[in-house]
Amino acid sequence: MSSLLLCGSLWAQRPGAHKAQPVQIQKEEAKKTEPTENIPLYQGMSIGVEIAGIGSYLLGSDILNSEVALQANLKNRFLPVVEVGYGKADAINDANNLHYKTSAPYFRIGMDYNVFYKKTHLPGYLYVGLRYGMTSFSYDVDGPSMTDPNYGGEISYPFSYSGLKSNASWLEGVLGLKVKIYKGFCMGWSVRYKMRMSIKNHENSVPWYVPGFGKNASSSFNLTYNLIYNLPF
Amino acid sequence: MKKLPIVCSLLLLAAFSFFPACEVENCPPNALAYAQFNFVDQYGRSVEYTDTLTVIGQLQTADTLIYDTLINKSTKTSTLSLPLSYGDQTRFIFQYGNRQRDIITVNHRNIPYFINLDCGTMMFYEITSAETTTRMLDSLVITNPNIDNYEKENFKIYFTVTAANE
Repeated sequence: MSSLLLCGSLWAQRPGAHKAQPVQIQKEEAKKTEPTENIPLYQGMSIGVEIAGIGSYLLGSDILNSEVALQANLKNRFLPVVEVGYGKADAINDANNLHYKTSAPYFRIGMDYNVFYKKTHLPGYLYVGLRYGMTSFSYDVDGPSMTDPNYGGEISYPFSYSGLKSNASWLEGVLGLKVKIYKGFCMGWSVRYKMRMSIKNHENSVPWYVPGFGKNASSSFNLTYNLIYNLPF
Repeated sequence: MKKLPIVCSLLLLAAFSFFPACEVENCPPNALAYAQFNFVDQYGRSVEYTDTLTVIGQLQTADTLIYDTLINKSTKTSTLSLPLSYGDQTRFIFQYGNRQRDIITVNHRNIPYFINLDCGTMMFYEITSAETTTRMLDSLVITNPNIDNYEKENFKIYFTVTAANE
């Protein structure tokens, strides 16, 4: 700021310039325009793919979860984002032979805030963000018949429920890092704390896995790893 | 080259993300959902039945009657936790110390319930109606018809307690 003001006064003292009054005006103008002039609102778009979920599925997990994120960069500071993903679970517990199956897309909308927005010389930045997530899915759950532990074990109930419809919504707090690797390519990782807001349960079950949220609980925590490409427009 | 340490540390952290977050499964402590009975006097105060009490559960199937001794010669009884059958109706035969008998008949709907993949399944019940004989006990009131893994009172059994007995 001080150098700018100095520039202003030097410029004001050029030959042919007016005296005292114009110097004051130039100073004020410089003050007002300086922060907005350098950074246009729109800074570009990026597209990212979450690959940690695919990785753990390939390593033998019963759960597959992946998403694509489209993010805009406004003033290199505010980063609104839309995430569309797909979550799938097909798990059997060997101990009790229970089987749970679901697969559905999910959606998230939110915004990140670049904490390092002033430090543009760095190869990456740290951000904090918020997301609102939602999904609508149906699930199947089945297992061995249930036999009465009392009364001689005379009566058994089959246990199989399929096509149970449910929906859920949640909030996520995000803390992450994005780093440039090569030209327009970046990678990022984030930790996410998720808080369940609503879920539809059934009389005979509660969903065990919720696409996009994870295992059903009042809160969940997970890590993501993204490959990101900065779109050339 | 300045970026290299950052890139390396990020790759390391990314590798950690392949490990699932630590999981704490909170299974309900009681694997069976029991009907809870509380003994009260005519004023609604908790009372204790001091003599011996035996409770036999009875299930009637299409061709047979099944008996299961649930409580054997308990003394100083003020509450009971009794399992319902997987049938539509369960009878509880109360045998008192003085050889008197009461029979409580509970009609119920059975709800097989999936808790989660790790904790398994359990049977919940909804009490649709209940009736009782009144030889020793006075009356029976359903205070909460839902029997699930939240332990709570489902029935109040009223006894008439005279001043001499108190």
